[in-house]
Amino acid sequence: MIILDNLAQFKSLYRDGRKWNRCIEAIENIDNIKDNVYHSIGDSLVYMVDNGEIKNSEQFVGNRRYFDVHYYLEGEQNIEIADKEKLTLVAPYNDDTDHEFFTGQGQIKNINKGQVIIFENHQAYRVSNSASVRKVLLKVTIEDGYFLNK
Amino acid sequence: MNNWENINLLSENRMPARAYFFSYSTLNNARMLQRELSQHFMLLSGEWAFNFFEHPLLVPETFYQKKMTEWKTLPVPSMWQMHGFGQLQYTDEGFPFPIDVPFVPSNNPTGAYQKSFTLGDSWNNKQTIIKFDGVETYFEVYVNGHYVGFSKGSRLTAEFDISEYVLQGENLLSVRVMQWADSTYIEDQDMWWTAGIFRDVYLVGKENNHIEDFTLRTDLSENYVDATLSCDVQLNKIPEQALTLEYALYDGQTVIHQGTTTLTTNSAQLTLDVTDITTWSAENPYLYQLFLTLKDSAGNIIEIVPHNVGFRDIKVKEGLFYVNGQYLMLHGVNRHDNDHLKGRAVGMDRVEKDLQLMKLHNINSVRTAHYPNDPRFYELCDKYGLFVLAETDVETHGFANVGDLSRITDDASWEGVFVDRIERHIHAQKNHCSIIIWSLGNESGYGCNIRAMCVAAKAIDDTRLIHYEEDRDAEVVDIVSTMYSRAPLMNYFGEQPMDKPRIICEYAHSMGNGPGGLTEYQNVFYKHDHIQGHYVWEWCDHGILEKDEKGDDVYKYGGDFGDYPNNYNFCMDGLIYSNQQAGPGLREYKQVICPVKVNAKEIENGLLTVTNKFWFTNLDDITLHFSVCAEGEVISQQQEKLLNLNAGESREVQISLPESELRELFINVSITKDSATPYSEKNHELGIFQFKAQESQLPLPTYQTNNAIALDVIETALEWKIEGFNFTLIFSKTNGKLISWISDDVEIIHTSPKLNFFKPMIDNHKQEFEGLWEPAHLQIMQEHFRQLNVVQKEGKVIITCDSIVAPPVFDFGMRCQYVYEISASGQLNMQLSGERYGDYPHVIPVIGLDMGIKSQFDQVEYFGRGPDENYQDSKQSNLIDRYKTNVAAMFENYPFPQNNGNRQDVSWLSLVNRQGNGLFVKGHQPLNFSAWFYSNENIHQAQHTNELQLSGYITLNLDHQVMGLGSNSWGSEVLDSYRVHMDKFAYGLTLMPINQGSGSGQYLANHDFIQGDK
Repeated sequence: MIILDNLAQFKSLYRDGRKWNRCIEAIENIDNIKDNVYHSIGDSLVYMVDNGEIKNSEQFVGNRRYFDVHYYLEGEQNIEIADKEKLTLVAPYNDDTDHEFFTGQGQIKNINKGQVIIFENHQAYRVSNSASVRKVLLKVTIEDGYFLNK
Repeated sequence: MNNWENINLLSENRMPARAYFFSYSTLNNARMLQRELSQHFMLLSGEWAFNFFEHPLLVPETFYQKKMTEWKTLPVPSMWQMHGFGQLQYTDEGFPFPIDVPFVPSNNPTGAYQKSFTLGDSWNNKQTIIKFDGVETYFEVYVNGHYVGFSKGSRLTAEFDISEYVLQGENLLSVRVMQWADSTYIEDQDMWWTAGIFRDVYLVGKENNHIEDFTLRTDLSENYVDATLSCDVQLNKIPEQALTLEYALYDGQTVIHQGTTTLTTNSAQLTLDVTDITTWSAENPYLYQLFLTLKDSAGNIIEIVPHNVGFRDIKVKEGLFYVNGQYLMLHGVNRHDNDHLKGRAVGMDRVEKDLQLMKLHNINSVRTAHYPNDPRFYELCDKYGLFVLAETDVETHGFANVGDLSRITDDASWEGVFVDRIERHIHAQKNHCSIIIWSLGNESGYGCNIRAMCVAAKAIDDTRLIHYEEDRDAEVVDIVSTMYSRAPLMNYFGEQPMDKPRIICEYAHSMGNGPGGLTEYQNVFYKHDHIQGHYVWEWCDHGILEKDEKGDDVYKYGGDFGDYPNNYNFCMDGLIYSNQQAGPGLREYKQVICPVKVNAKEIENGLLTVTNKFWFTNLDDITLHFSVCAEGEVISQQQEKLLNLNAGESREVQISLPESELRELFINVSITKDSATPYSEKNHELGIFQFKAQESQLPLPTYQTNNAIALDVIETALEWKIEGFNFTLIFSKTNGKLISWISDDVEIIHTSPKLNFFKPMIDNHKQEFEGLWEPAHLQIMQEHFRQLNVVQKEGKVIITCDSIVAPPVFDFGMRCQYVYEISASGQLNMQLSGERYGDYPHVIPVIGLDMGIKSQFDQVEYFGRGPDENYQDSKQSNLIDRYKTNVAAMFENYPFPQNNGNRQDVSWLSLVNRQGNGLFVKGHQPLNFSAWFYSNENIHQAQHTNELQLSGYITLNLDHQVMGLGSNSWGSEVLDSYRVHMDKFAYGLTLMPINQGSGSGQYLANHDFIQGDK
């Protein structure tokens, strides 16, 4: 998991590549979309403003084809993160959802307003439920370099 | 400024858009709805005088006034490039000239067309209208030397009133057509750049008073039992004397509603309240016939206008759309007009066959990608039953190449151009019940002109929904849409849905071998009500059939005509081939969207669940055929009718299983539709399913032969030779390979078995090939022999060969081991294993073995998945069974050669000559099997079918893992579960020469070869 202090840092570090540019494009469009509804930029990025009303999984969730980026607009939240290989698989990977679920324990990080989190797919995570949180969830393709789609 | 470079001039003297219909003199003729039987109809299509010019000014002045008798002829409709004039060019989106809006090349390819026609007495005093249903791109009309007008909008009907210019007797029609216009910037669809009069041209004669237009609307009651049919009729003018308009609605031969109204103005509003209706849907395209009869004051019939009426509505409630009050999902395809011989000038016979094929493959919707079709297309959709997503002729995709896709879409000065196109389209096709959604165009960015189109569309027709894919936040559209969103992304859309219904208007790019992953997409679609439509890209390849220098057929694509830039074979991306033959992808799609689903409930007890996934229809007309099979033999059969099982409902079915059967058992299910339809015979099969009910419990006896003798092992300087009864195997000491296997004096081996990690590239792996494989030289991996060890043990000879298979340049590859175990009874057991060294974390196409065998062994029998090719992510339409075929028939001859013909889950196979001699193979676990008459290298390098060269042997592929197909020629990468990596592997198989006396393949397969011959 990569924790960045603010969006400016994200823009600076991840400025090259279509998928990163789309993240910024999506974040800049959030005033035009309703909370808790997935929208899209191009073919391979979906994003949503999560206002804290969506219940989070009690299990660790892992992805393979898309990784999560969370940008915290409001509030704070604990994220528990662990390498998949140190967790117990309880629901096998599903191509329909790009999810696999685990149980176990990981390291807890407290994330605050303004921070940007990039989740890496060798790890799985779970987040605490927090009504005060408002954040942008982005599902970003792992494809890179030779990736052509719009 | 040239008219063709002026966005403020869309046309001159073109008549206002209106519905497509014809007038008849008698009810009998009107019933036929065949325009050739209508009043004063003259088809002008046929051979026209034609000349081609590089510049519009080169067209001689005399062309407009006099017959050009010395000119050649060109068929109308046609594209002139398909007849040797001008230049064919294919680009996906790039403009083939510099962007300099609104200008186009000054050397604007120009076609000058002439046609003479003769008007007899019956045309006296008639308003004479000439109609062009499609001219690409800009055209001017002249009659008898008089300029009539011009039009743009290539795939929209244009009408001109030529009454004042025509004469009794012979008339001269001259049409100047230019390939490029300012409108080209808005007609940049993914297809061949061609030009010409490509749809029919015809004259229509109208009486002094006539129906100019009419607009139908059907409003259904809340319970969908009754309906109101409204019809706004517009006359061409206010009549001098009152006219009478009679209207009659027929249900078959029965008049169910009729009335009369007097017309003293130029319009009438008819309202017909109809009770106990049968609604129209794709599943039951029930049509009534409406006849509007206009009579003069003396009661004489002026004209009868017929129209097929379907009672249908579409409404959005709480974020979902409903047709006739019923939730539904649109299982669709994107259809271009394209013919392998005629380009976009498709004949209606081809159009009709397309629609029949769609219906035969469970498709219930078609998107007219990306422009209106011939008006008769919509009549056929009404008749056959296809929900139409009717798209108009708008695409500005080429501006994406300069990073400004919305350049003219968000430029208000272009508003008139955009709005004109949706208004003309809706007016022309507004009365077709099959059309449920209007689409504002394709891939043109977003902006003010889309908003204006939407307002204009709603002003004409507020009964249908509006679609436009690039309004991603659904600001103005009724249906939110994306294209190529991957299955898990569609799942996210479903989990947190918008408050408007969603479709995916393009996905599953069907280029070459594929698409894979349709099942996972469909799982997601079915899971979420929010997702109500999906349209595979695309229906048909756009290849152009030509003969090569040897006279052989070859399908050509971008670049084959000297065109540059081009998007190469990106136009070969259909579910059906260019010649309208169905491909494997279409068969897979048919199965995935089969409207009757069968699932296992308690399969070991023969208990299945059947679900009706029609949207409007119960299963009374469906029969389910169940077969219990073992080793390809049908043990028992059972038929079931599930009466009164309504849409969305499920019911359990109990299948009787044999009690004392030890063999592996499968339950095969075939779903058939009892009754014939306009597109299908009686008992047409809708889909198939298979369930394994029992694993084999058969004890397998050890294989042995009576004539076996002790093996003789002979070592020479360069070889190890192993001899047994009637066979000899030779292994090379220089490379560790099995280089010869002679059985009954016949050499079996043509090229040595070798482990293989690369396959001829398929289109859907091109991004991986270009991004990962080719840079790592995977296509030229080398094998280097390390050591060979020969031991004799328990009557067998065991030869172990270690090697590496790795690309040049790099420091990674696979350390491989072949273990050959030769038995006195003649079989060769192979244990194959490998482990990666170095770093290569990416996917690879295959972990497998290939070898060359004698080409005469081309008669194939196998037990595995078939009868057609299948892959991990594309196998629903193929069942495990015993199949007889041959090497030629197993080869799926893609017009761009690529890996093909794989059969999965293969337990055993045999390849023999016509005398029954050949090779038997049994996998120690299920194998992937393919065989072809070409080398891997040749298939990989060939770019057209005529570049395939018979290798002189059969390449036999016995693969352990074959990567899924995906659809990432544009879209979904191969799903994670179907990926193959350069990981540690081990698998085994037994090979054995066979002859007529060896027994059947199934007999041999029922033996244990691994423990045999101790």
